[in-house]
Amino acid sequence: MANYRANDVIRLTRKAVGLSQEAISEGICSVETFSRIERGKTKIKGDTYKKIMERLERNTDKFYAVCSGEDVDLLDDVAAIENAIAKFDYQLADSILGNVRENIGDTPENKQYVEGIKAIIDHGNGKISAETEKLYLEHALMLTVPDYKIFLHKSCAEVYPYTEHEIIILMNIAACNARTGNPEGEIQIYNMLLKCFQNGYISGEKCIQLKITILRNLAYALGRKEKYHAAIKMTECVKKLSLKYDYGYKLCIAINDMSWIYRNLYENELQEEYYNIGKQQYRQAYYLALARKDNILAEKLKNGYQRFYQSDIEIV
Amino acid sequence: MDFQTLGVLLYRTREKKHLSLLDVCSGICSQSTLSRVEQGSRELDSLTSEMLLGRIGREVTRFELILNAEDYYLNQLRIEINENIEEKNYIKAKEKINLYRQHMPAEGKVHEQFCCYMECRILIAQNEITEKLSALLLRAIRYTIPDYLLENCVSRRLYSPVEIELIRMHITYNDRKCECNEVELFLIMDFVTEFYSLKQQEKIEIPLLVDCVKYEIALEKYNRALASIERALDIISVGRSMQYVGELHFLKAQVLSCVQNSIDKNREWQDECKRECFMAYVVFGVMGKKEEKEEIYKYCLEKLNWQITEQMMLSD
Repeated sequence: MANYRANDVIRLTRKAVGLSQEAISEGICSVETFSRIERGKTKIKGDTYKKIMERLERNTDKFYAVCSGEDVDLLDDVAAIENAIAKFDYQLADSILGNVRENIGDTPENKQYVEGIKAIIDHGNGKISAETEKLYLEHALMLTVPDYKIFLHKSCAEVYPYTEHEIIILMNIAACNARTGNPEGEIQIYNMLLKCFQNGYISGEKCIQLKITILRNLAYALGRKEKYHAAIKMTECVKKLSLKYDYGYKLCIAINDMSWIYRNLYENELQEEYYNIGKQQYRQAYYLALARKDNILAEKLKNGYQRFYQSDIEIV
Repeated sequence: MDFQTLGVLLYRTREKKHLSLLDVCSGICSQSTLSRVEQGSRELDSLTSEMLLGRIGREVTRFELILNAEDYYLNQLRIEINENIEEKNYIKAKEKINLYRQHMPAEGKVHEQFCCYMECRILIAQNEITEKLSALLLRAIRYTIPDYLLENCVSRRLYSPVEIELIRMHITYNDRKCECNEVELFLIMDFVTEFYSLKQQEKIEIPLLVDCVKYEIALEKYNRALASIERALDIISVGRSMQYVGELHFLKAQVLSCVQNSIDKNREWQDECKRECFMAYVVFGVMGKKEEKEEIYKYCLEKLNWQITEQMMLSD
C-alpha cells in the first residue's frame, strides 16, 4: 500500500493551492494547533483530518481503497486487469474491464481509475491514438487534481502530494508524450515525480517500482537521443535497483534495453565487442522472460532476434 | 455501502466468507475493537491494519494509508530493517530493531512480533540454528496465535503473512518435529488456497509451494511436483519477482529427468531438461548466484552429458 505522512499531505496540498493556515484551520482548530499538525508535532484524529481535507478538496479518509464497490471480489478483478496490462494482454484486460465498470462505485477515485485504465487499454488495443489517450488520461487526472497543469509548469520548491494512483496516471501521460514526439514533456513529468519521491511524503513497495520505471524510461529517452554511453550508465543503475528490490520483470526490460543500445552503438561505431554484448544481452532477456513465463514478451524478443540476427534465438 | 474504508472492507469480507469477528482478530485485537474499526469509530496503526488485511487474504498494495508522523516513522523503520537484512547489514538491522522497540506503541503485541520475526531472520541468515532460535520463533508466533501447538483440533485459522513466515521457519528449524507441524502446514495451504487469488501474496505462496515440491519429489510424486512447480511459475508470471525462478526451473529439470518424459510433445525430454537448466543458469547468472550456477553446470555435465558455455549466448 502506499503510505502517506499525514502532516506532509496537508501542508503540501495547502501550499500548492496557495491558502493560508488561517484559512484552512478556521472553525476546525486554532492556528497554533494547525501549525503543529502540519509539522507532525500533533497526532491528527480522523474527524479533524476529514474536515481539513474537505477544505482542501481532497480525499477525506485516512484509509481507503483506490477501487471500491459493493462486492469485495472487485479487488480480484482489478488485480487481474493490472496483471493483464503488465503483460501486454490488452484484450484480456478489456474483457475484465466490463465487469469492473459494473461493480465499481462512483467516487471520484473510482471514476478516475476506470477512465484512466480504459484509456490505456483502448490505446493498447489500437482503438485510440496516443494523442487521444493523453486527453483521456488528463481528463481522468483532473477529476481529483483540476490544477495539475499549473503544478506541472510551476517551478516550485515543494511538490504537490499526488496519490500513488495519480502518479501512475502521470507516468502514462509521460509515455504518451514520448509517443507523440514530445520528449521534453515526458522528461518534465518524470523529473517532477522524482521530486515527489525525494520529498518523502509517500512510501511503499509500489513507489520503489515506479521510481525504477521512471529511471528506466529516462534511460530509454537518452537512448533515443543517441546519448548511448549515458543511457548505458543509467540502464546499469536500473538493473542494479531491479535486482536489489527483486523487480524481476523490470530487470528483463532493462537487459533488453541494454541489447538495443549496444546494437545501435555497433551501427555507429562498428566495434565487434558491441555486437557481441548486444547479442548476449538479447538472449539473456529472452531466457529471463521465458523463465518468468512472460510469454508475450518472449515471443516479441524471439521475432526481433530473427529479424536482427537472421537466426533462431533458441540454443537448445 | 462500498468498501471504501478498511472497516467496511473487513465487514464485507467477513460477511462473504462467513467469518466471525474472532476469526479475524484473534490474537491481534479485541472483538470490540474490531467491531469499532468496522463501524469507523476506531483507527488502527499501519502494522495492525496490515495484519488484519493479511488475515482476510487482502494484498496491502491496493490501499492508501494516511499515517501520523510517528506511525509513518515506524513504517519507514520496518522498511529499513528489512532492507538491512536483505543486504546482510546485520549490525545496522539490530540497531534499528532496538530503535523500533523504543518507539513502538505500549500495547505492541504485533510490533513485538515483528521485532522477533526480524531477529529470527538474522539468526537464520547467520546460521545460528539453536534452541534460542526455536524458542524465539515460538514466542513470536504465540504473540498472535497463543494456542499454537498447544491445542490439537483447530478447524479454521486465518494467517497474516508474518504468521505464515514464522510458522514456516519454525517447521523448518525445529528439531523436535511433531505431527502438529504438519497439521499447521496443511491449515496454511488450505487458507492460502481459499483466500488468495493467483497474484496475491506471491511472496508467501511461492516458498510454500517450493517446500511442497521438495516433499513431493522425496515421495516420488512427480506429477504433483510438476503441477506445484507450474502453479508457482504461474504466480510468478503475474507478479514482479525473480526470487525463486531459478530454483523452480532447476527442480523442473530434475523432475523431468526422473520421469524421463517431456511435457512439450515437440521436444525430447532431454532437450526440455537442457532448456530448463539453461533458463535456471541464465537467471542465476544475472542474479550473481555463482554457487547455484556451478551446481547446474555440474548437473548438466554429469547427468545430461552437456557442457554449458558462455559462448552459447553468442552462437548462431
